[in-house]
Amino acid sequence: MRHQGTIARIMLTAALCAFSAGAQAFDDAQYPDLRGQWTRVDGPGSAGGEPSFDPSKPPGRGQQAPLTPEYQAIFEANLREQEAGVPGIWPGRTCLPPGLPAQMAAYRPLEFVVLPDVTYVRVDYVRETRRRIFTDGRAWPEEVEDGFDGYSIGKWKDEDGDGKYDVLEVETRHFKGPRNFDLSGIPLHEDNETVIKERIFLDKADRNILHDEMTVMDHALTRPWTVMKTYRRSADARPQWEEYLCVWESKTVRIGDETYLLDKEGFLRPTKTGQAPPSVQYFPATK
Amino acid sequence: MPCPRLIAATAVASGLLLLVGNANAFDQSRYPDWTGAWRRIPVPGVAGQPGYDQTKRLGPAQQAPLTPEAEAVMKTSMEDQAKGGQGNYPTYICLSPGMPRIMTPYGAMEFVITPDTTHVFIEHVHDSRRIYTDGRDWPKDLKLTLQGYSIGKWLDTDSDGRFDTL
Repeated sequence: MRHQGTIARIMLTAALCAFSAGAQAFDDAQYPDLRGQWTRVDGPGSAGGEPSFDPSKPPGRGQQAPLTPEYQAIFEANLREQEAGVPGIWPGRTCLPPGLPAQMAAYRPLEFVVLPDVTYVRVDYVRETRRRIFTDGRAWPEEVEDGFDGYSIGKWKDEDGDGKYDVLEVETRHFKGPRNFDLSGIPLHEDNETVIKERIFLDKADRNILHDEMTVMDHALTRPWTVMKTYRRSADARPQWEEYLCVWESKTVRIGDETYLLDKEGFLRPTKTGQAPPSVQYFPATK
Repeated sequence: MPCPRLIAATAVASGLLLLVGNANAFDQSRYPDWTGAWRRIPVPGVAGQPGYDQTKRLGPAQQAPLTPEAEAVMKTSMEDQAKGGQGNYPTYICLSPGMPRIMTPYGAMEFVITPDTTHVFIEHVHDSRRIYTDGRDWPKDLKLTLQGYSIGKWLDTDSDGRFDTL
């Protein structure tokens, strides 16, 4: 039986070699496969139009946003302006990024890049966005530069105990504005103290379906607002990623704090009654 | 002498277990460590905005080997800029500078390496890139972009078992 010791040593050496070789290896198998191109699944309320914050409900007032009376009044005023043909307060029309939570509506396809320390979410809409969700165990930094995407810290969880991660829990803070919930202009509070919690996970029955359960806490709301966003993976293993160049697609012009419409003939038009024109003092006088 | 065979079999089995165990692993140690935020290094004595050749000043000092037609375009652009205009400089209306200018880079640059794609994230206008390293060929149908379509290949030029050049 003297060879048992030799065999044990070989096994131990192999194990140590495995540990050494794998010390810097990123075991993809431990994480869900989120590769590919993800497109939003429109809910029954979207009616094929632009997506709303809650995909399960109709846009605008149909969202039944739990707004405070003050912010409901702001929203109603914005809706009345839109009904009168004014572009509304959606920041994307003047090429400001939508930020969170709106960007997770997936106005354009999403890409997830999962690495041990960071999960990146790429979205090319208005502004080409690289959302970073830090999963390296960091605490909230004492000083953070506020951003439209905020600052996201995530944690992978193995909820079904099979030894593999299945849920990415994310909390996002440190925002700047202006931001809205969606294109209809449902407002977030101007203090930008929004806190957003998300649970991102693959559908157990269909691994080409991804869910993002999102809860927004904001001082414009009377209670946390939770919705479920769903995305479908493209069957194309090598999809094209189209470029979104806002300045080519935008039909509005922002000058200072004012927004003007640019019509087909190239003329600036007012976006609200009584709006003053931009100054032309540096242009030669024209008849 | 059955034991040497047993020992050899054990070693082979251990090796196979190692192989199977790492079948799905993305071995980051095979790739160079390009993590972090990268910024261009200003060249001493070269003042002003960075040029395509960062060792030389902007404009004629670049000594760009332009065709006469392109040389005329540049001359017109520089004359316009000298009068306070923008010349043929689309970035002032927030269009991406596109390739090759985005690699100047104007903002901090982050490399995110995965086996299939190396992402280059640049915080400036609209400058990020995907460099596909999955062995694909050039696609037949492609929508053109300012960044272009990039295919890359990792090389181990010093044969130490690790990639060092993309």
